[in-house]
Amino acid sequence: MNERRARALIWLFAAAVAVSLAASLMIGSVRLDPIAAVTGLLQPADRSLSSAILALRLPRALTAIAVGGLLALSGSVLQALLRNPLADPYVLGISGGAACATMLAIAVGAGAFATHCAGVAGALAALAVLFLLARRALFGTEHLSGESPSSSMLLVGVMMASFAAAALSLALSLAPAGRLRPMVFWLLGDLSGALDPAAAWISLAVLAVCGWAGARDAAALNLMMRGDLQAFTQGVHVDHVRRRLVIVASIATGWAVALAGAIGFVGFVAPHLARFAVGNDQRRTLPASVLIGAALLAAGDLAARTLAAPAQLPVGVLTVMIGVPLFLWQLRRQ
Amino acid sequence: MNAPMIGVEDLALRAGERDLVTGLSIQVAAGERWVVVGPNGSGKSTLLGALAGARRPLAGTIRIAGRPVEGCSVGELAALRALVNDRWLDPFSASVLDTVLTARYRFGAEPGGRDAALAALSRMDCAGLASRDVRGLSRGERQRVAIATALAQDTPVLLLDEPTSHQDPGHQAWVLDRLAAHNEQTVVAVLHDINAAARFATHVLLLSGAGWWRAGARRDVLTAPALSTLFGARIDVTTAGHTEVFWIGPDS
Repeated sequence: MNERRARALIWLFAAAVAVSLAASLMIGSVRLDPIAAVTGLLQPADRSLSSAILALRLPRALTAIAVGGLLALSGSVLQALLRNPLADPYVLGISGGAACATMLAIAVGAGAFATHCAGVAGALAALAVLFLLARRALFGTEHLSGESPSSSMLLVGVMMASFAAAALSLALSLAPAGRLRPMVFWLLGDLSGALDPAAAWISLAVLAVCGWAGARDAAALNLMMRGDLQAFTQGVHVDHVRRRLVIVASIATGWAVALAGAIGFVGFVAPHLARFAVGNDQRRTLPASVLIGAALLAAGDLAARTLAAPAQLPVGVLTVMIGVPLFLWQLRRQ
Repeated sequence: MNAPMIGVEDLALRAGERDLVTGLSIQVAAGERWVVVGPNGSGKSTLLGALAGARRPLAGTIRIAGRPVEGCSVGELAALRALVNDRWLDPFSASVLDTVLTARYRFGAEPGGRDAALAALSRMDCAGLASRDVRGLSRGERQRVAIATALAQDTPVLLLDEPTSHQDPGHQAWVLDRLAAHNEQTVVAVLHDINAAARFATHVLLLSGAGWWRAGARRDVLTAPALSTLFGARIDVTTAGHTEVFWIGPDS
């Protein structure tokens, strides 16, 4: 892969994020022209219609970008770490913890902020359980000459995800009928509740921190993809890198799920599209993947709130419907 | 006398409940080529793992260039030794050059890495493969790329676990001769082919896997009676020209 071409493509993906952000601000039940959008952004205290509309659209668009980027980052890291192209952000069961806690919060009728907090707490609890159950894989040293710790970590994660899925079904079947619709929408992945500008900016900050942490270990991840023993002999502290990346991926997934529900497919397909475009050097794959995920989810959310307007579709359904044909088309081109 | 490049003192290795070797002490001088010979499961790979610092021995100490392996950081070890094993993984497609370049990780961002990687590739007769996808290589080619990767790490010690298991007879001899010609590196290799070992080694370590071991110069250690005891099969030696050829006797 030509380095200059890869760099140009990454700039192109960044431009795609900017375009989908601009489109998300301008398109809707009321269309804004670019000038109105810019003046509305520059003068948020202005009581004009455009600034009122932007106050609704901006947090949602930024949240979509942050959530898409976080899911793509997590998927990209986990696919490389587990050496498995089928891995996605939900494979370690972290999202299951977040989902259970969120469902519980919705079922008892908690507010939006409390629901987010419950989701984050659930993700952290699931991460703690993962570290406890897979501690031999995450803290042992014997694996260097034996079995890969990834598979035992994967098994623990899949078991936790299965348990969480059962718990979710239980919550759904016991929930009062009036709360079923928001619960189902949340399960499908939904950004219509993302109206809080503070939460949106914090999410972007979480994305920046997680992205920075992932990028620091990208070169080491390149080596670990090719085997733990090999990476160790080449100078990578494999235990430390693995633990750091599991934590980064878990926080990214947990935050995204707590905010927007279990949005499927973005975290799986964005790393694949990134690899198709810029190859498998993680120093390029990670940023490309984050940008593709952000653009995909922002575009998906724009479609979700405009295609069937005034009704809103769950964005999780649309990401799959956009992502699958895109993925299959790329797969055929390879 | 100079300090040995690799010093092993009173080493004991165990796999599960089985004592593989006890009281192993060898001194490997710089530039020597040691071959470890022994039956399946006798602890040859375990020994290489211990020498590489990837496996903690039950007892004893290992020093590379005078430094105890257990006290070295991962980065320091990477500057001392490279390891070739036969379990390379290629989960995602990547070019051969990028794969060899992983060995330059310890140098950080350096401009010369590409040249070093290409030089290592051409030393293993793989220069023409640089832009190919590793996943499309034959097993023999992939193995030579793995050796080139270890060479590109540019370490004084090279540890090889069956480095020629996928080579045809011509390439097996060629690869070993190439490694032998590069005699500033100290090599410890596991080889199953006794005749390849005889051709390559300056010194030999026989490991029985039941605690018993013998080490020394090739001519003293790699003998038909010792090999017969080691493998529990009748191994004979004949001379063809100037070369000794080991073969398994008819009544084994």
